[in-house]
Amino acid sequence: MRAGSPNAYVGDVNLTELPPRTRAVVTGIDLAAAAARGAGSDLALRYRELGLRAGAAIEVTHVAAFGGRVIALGADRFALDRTTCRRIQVEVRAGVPA
Amino acid sequence: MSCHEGPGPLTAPDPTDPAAPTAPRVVLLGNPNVGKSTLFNTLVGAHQRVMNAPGTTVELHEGTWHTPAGQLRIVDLPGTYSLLARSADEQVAADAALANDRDVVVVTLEAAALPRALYLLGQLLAQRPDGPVVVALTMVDVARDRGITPDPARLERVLGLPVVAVDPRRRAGTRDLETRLTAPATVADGTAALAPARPASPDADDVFAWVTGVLAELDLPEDATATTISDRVDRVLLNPWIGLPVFGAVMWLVFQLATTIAGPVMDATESVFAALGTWILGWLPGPAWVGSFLVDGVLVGFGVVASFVPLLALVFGAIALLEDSGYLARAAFVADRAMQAIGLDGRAMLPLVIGFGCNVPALTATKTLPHARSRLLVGLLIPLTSCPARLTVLLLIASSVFPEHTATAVLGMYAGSIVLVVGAGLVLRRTLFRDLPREGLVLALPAYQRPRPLMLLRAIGTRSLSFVRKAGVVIVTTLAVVWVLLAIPVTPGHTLADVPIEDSAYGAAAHAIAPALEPAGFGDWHFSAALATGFVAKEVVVGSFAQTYSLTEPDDPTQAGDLGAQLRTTLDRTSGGHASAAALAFLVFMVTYTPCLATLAEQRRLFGWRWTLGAAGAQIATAWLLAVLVFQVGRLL
Repeated sequence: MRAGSPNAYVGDVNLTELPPRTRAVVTGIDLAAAAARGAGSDLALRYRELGLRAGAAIEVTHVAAFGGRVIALGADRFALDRTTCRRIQVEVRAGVPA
Repeated sequence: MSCHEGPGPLTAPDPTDPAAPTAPRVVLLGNPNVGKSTLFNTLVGAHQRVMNAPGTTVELHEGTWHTPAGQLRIVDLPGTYSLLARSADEQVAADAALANDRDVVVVTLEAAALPRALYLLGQLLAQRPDGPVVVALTMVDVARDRGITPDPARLERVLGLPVVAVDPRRRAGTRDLETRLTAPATVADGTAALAPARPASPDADDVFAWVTGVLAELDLPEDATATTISDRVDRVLLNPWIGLPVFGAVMWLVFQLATTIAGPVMDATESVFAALGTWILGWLPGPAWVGSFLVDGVLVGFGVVASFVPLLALVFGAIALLEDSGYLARAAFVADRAMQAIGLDGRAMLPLVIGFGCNVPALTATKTLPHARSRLLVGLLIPLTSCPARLTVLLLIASSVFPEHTATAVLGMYAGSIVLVVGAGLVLRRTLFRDLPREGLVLALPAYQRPRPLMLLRAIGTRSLSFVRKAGVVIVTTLAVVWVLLAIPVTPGHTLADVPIEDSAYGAAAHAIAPALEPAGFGDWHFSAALATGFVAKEVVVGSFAQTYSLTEPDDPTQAGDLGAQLRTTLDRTSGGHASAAALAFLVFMVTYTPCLATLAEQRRLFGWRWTLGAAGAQIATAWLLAVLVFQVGRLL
């Protein structure tokens, strides 16, 4: 975390840094580390197919054990493990309260 | 009713073939967990069967929907997010959806997840320009809770496709769906007066652009993140301090179902069959061996199969309850970190936990994993989870040879079982399953819903019957063969079915195998016969020892008396005075090798003979190697 208030999370961070009830916009998915571990290029497409693509508005609804998070993507809810959260770059919506 | 059929073609019936089924074929396509299978079960009821897609271990459910206008063949495909498949299951779904333009494809769109559902529909429309497509809008109530109220009529105008709002859990909308599917215009050309707007091409960017256009025309709230009841429940169940204990409690309950609760029911079922056997023997005329074969060779097999049914029903019911309520996805999320240790995701936890209760329903529970390769990997690990049936053997040997350390030895074997599962998982992930990528978890969480008893009963019935029909044949046949081996004398002076084990073909085989066990310190026919019996079921190993030593089976395996003394004496002799090391080696063998015939039969049903026999061979080889290692090291200490 960069600071105590979500309002301070302006700029690109990854999902692991966001506390619950923070709203953000996805700015990119960093799959370099995943590719190095053998993940195929189609993984990036699958994220897009699920709606996790640049410009998508999300909200962290829960922080689970071991750094996982649940996000709201529209009316959808996705559980993401820490590894996945680390890949998702977001920009926190400035001024959106926690 | 349900059965597990062999591979069948995934094409529509040829109308020119008089032998082909005449009912039109309707294919259900949709994202996972959008109510597609619930819709299928509601439409076809008990008129369904399970079959494997050609050349795969991917299950398809096919059924007949009896409507006033005629019969419809309904096929429920595996859930998929895309027609660009990333697993065998998704490939089966994509192939079937695009197989034949005469099929009607019903695409289930989850109202609460329209963007990703529309993407799949867009892909289909782009790749299937001529075939009829009908949209079934599901989970409208969930969407409403989340601040979205999609209007089916408006969606129909925007898409240019027939749209029916359905709630299969309440049987709502099925009449409308029936009308859309059976109206001649719809079935003939699928579009009636509607003209679907399609993506410019199947290219992902064009499909995304099409989805964006459709959503814009629907004018839905852009940022619908209203807090729902499910969110509130998740605040508790996914809380790190509460979620883990709740998960542990749920797993404990499922384990109890498979052991403490199922045990007496299984025993009662066996008792009924035993009484039936006594009754048959009482009135059956003819030679004694005929009665013996019918009762001890055939009826006993039916008894074993029947005794598994209540256990399976209980465990399947629990799984269906967890799945239907929505908790199963949360359990997978909570368990995910632990399962990553062996390169699996959290969905593998439930089958493995059940495995420590009984391997058979655990194998069936692998159906909760979304990909065929993951199901196979977990299905290969499950036989290494030590079920309670092995406990009696562990107690007998441990208390006979090291009575002061019985508990330590037994606990050590359970710990060893966990080490085996983890070790085998790591080895398999780095060898035969290198193709399973470690991608991280992205799991759609369905809204919590009140489970429907009818749905649960149907899931229980379908799965149990499938086991009885397919796995049952293997169990009954094998037990009949075992009877024949036990009944045939190989030394003079005996008659058919009236021969001590040592003088039977079974005993001769045990004598032949015994030398192979000498490096492990228990190269004796009593032990090889017990291991062979254990291949059928671990519950009868203690009885086998008692039978081969011509002693009474002890009620309590820790108070084995003469049998314990005989076992100790035998191991002293075969191990050259290192009975403890030999006993430990035997325990390791017992925990590692094939659990039972029913497990093999269920593996065969799910994964085919090749994997089943390969896995059994690997288990026996591993068991032998570990036992030899333990004995050879142990006797030096």
